Amino acid sequence: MLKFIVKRILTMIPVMLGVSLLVFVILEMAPGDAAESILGEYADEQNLEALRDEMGLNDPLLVQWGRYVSDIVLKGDLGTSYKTGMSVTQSIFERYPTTMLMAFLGVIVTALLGITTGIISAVKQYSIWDNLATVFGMIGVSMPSFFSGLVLVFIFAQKLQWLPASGNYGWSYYILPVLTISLTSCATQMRMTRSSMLEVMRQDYIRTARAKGQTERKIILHHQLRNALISIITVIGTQAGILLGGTMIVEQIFAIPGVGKLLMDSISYRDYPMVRGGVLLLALSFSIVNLLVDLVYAAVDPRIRSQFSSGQKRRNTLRGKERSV
Amino acid sequence: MTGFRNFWRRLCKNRLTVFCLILFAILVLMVVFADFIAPYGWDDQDITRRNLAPCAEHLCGTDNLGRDIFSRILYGGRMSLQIGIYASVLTTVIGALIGSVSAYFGGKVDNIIMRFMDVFMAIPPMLLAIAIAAALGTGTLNTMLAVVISGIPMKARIARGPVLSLRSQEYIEAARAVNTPTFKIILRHIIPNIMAPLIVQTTLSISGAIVQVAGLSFLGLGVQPPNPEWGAMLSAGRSFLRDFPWMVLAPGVAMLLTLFSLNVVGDGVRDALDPKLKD
Repeated sequence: MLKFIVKRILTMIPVMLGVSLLVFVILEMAPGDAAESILGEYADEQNLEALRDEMGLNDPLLVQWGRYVSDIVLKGDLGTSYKTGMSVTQSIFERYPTTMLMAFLGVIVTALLGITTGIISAVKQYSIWDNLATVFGMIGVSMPSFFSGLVLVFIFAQKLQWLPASGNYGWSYYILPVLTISLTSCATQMRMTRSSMLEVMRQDYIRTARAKGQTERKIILHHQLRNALISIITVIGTQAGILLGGTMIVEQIFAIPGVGKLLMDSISYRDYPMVRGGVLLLALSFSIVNLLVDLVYAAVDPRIRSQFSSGQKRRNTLRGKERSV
Repeated sequence: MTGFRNFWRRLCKNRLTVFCLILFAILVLMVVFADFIAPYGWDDQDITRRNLAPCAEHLCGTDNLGRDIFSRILYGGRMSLQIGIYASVLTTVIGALIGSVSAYFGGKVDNIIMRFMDVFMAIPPMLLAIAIAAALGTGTLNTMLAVVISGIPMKARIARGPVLSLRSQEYIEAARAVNTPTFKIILRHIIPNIMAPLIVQTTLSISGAIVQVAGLSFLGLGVQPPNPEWGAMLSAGRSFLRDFPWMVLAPGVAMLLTLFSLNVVGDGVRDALDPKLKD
């Protein structure tokens, strides 16, 4: 198992290097360069050229990228913001906890609400609860966060005045944003849980368990849920990615000072070191979530666990992933 | 043709799917014939009639510049649906080509292409789309490009799976034995055989593409005002939410109806084309 973890972490390194290069190339396509954003539109060509030389912007892209990566690895330095002149690393890490807390709470709410409603509606298939949950699930999936967020603000902050609409000065400020980001994923989670529970329900071992007189509760929790868990966890993993990507929108709506808001502000100022650092950090967080998901797979499914200790582990984990996609 | 009739019969079995198919058809027709249906132009301003609540003359009210929201929703829907449909078709086509080439050649080619895709997939799709849109600049074409690029890796992976098992089929081997050019094998023998999952993927991803486009516009990175687009309209209405909520609710509900019907139809198409997943 330890060997698997180490190996899995090692495979993350080339991927993250690739991500940093990709982000580098993407932002290279942007109009204007660093010198122009620092000196402004009307700077004369001589000064621009001098600054470009000083910043190494005239070097080939790969050289610039190599310098960027080595700075990150050796000094933990993500560069300096064009706008504030502050260290990107520091600015981003100041805001990182807020974003992570929100994404984390989002995942928790998604998992708790989504899985429970999914189980209930699968167990009581075709009942009124199931129909209600299915319709709500469908509506939830079809409701983008920037619309549901505004609807929640309108109802709870402006009409009922129960909760604050924007800012970040305490726990009550987290309720609406977390609800907003988890609504869509909750619906997805519910639908996935329901369908995988139903799929498992028709298996022979469930009939066997019932035939030997097992209590319904035990059948549901121990036999059905356990076997449905793999696909449920997969959804949590993908949803975590969506939550991390969605923080940009939610932080914008609720004016929460997190990495997403910082990214959007930096984009409008063309502060590319900040954009680069933010994207990189969010991508890294996403990769770590995927790593955790892979580990949890192994924890819940002894079949996967045993593959890690036997010979052909990698191919089988990949196959396991494809099956669930 | 029997295949299609079979598919159609199965699709029509579910009443909700039929209802949503009709709903979606109506929405599409309204959007396509916006020129005839919309009571006003998308940028017709009447300063004397600003912020009006929904009434007989203005079905969804007017916005802060005195423009008819209903007309703007129709024209905006044209934009959203167009970009969404083009983007998801393009994504699926390119993704399928990459995925099948990768799986067909296998070995090193497959390894390199898929590791490349892994890099793209390590960035959450919305974040990738935002980064691309930020670099390319705003505008309809760039927005579409951002959505397409961020969606390709997932599609490539989905297409790769079935091709891996097709590759060793006898008829592919036969085609190879008579010296059929590789690109012809992929286009004539492999792609048609993964058509069903591809169609399912396209229908399922249209709603996702619409959401992404609207999300980018909402953040100010996509379609720019004064052009009507649902996400941009939501963003513009945000500051008037408290007093004139219809500026947000009307385009939002239009989007909700579209996405809802699309999602239900997408599920229906999946169930009808893929009997394995059917109860």
